[in-house]
Amino acid sequence: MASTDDKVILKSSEGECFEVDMAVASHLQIVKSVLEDCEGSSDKVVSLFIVEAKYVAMIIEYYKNYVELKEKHEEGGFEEKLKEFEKQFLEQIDKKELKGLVMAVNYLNAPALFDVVCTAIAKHIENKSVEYVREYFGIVNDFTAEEEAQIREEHRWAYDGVNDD
Amino acid sequence: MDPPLKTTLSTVTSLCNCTKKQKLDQRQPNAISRSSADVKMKRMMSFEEEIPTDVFDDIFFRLPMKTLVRFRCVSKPWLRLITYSRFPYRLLNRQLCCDHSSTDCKHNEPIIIFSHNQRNSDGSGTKLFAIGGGYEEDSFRLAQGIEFSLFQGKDFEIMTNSCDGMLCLAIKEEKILVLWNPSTREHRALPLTTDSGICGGVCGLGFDSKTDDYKVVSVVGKQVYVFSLKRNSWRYIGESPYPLHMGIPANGYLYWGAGEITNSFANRIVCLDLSDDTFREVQLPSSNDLVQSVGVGQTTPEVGFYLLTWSGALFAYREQDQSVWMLKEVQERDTAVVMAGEEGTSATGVKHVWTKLMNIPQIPNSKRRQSARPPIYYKLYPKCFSKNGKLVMAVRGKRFILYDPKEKSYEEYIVRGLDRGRCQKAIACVESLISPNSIRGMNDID
Repeated sequence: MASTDDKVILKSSEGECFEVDMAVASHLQIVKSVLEDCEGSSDKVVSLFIVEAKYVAMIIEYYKNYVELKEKHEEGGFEEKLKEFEKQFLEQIDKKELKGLVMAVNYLNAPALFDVVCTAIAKHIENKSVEYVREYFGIVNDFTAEEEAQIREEHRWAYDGVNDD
Repeated sequence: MDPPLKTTLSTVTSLCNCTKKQKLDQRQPNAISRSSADVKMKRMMSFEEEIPTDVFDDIFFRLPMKTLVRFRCVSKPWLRLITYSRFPYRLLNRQLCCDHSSTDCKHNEPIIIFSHNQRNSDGSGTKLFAIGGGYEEDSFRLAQGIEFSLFQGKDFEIMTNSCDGMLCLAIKEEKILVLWNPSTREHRALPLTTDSGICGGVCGLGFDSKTDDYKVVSVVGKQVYVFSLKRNSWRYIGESPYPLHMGIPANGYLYWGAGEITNSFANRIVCLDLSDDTFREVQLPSSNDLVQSVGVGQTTPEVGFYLLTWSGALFAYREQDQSVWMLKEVQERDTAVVMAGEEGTSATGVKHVWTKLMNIPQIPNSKRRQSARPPIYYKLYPKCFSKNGKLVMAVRGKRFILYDPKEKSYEEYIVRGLDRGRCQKAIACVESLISPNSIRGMNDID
């Protein structure tokens, strides 16, 4: 078993290196599994190839706090403290970046943060219009005008109370 | 040498599936083939530019039904995912399996739908309202109208309890029966023969897991008819052993308050197995403590039960001591089939084990509370549990009580947002996207 003193280096798609505690990195299931495969090897650099540095930094920030809070509030109160931090954490992230972050987190298989980001995206699009959502996710509308009009007509009530910012 | 593109893509897909599965299975050892770190990370490189579908699943799980209905017209793949795939079933399962008390629960409160006959200037017609359904418990205090354009301005009735977010409505006089999903407002008219009383006798809706089919039950006199949504036809299955109240689906069966039924409280409970169309008597919760409270030497008092369901389990409220019981275990055992005419035959059946959850204190009528006269206590109709485990109970008309079993406290309130008029049947319902017109079943493939 790796002790918490161990460090590992995560390399972003741009080649930027991040040195993190093993306790933090092990929350990324894919990194953990890679490190287990290479146990005994002195090389502790894991390339994350497709994950941009800004997302690597976000993910590390989240789990660093996660690990710290968990240690500090072993007796209880961890969940509330984590919720507080998550709120603050999400405030700094641009809505457009949530999309990149969810893909990065999904790729690295980090369940706790995946849940947080999915919830944030859902909250963000909950009251948004269809047009906004297409643009946000870069989805091409493949309906004909008639088809779309018909679907809208069938569920007109679902289009009330939408804000288009 | 570069591998052919197709192989690379399929490897990526299988690896992606693998990581996803791992997450679900709490990581199985050796799920990923042992290869060198670099190769493994590199294989994942060409992952999609766009958000993969299974991630959309996770985002969609956290959206309100109204939003999901709206997003059907984003694109064809979204329409397919939201409406015609197994997503509605995955969503429903997730709601049922969710630990509602945990802070991680993202689901909304259940809804209670009731029909309301308005006595105002805009004329006659039954209206449907819902309370609950919001993220907060407060949503049980405010009624919101639900339009059902087909029945606009007409007098109709709620005929069944809900099953997976759907229920039956009928205009008895015109012999029109529909299966309706209040979350998506989609409906399907069910065919009826003109001369039978089937329409007026409809009193149950359940899911048959053996055939992945929803079934509607109608009792005409003693005769029981079952409608299969997949076959789109009615079938006579025999006679019912007792008079039946409204069936409530739970544990894969339809349970009924049966026997003598007064004010919706029944003195027997039976269950109908929709896979083999047989009724079985359900052993009642123990009345030992009831006998004690009545006094030794007296006979067991008459009991009255009212059934409700939550998270797929069945609960029985016993009126006499205001206790709530949960049907805990259903085990296979030899029991007698109580279907009339076939008495005495034995079949593999179910054993019913009840666990008492709570006793609700008597709640005095607030109008009498200030007066010197002895209090009158409310008759309680528990409808559903809130996410926090509070019991939502209908009392009378617009009057509801929210009972907190942990604190043993209650709050009485009058539902806002309703005009003058009479509240009729109130039934609890989960929100779901399952379409009455596209019954696929849990095991059907996408």
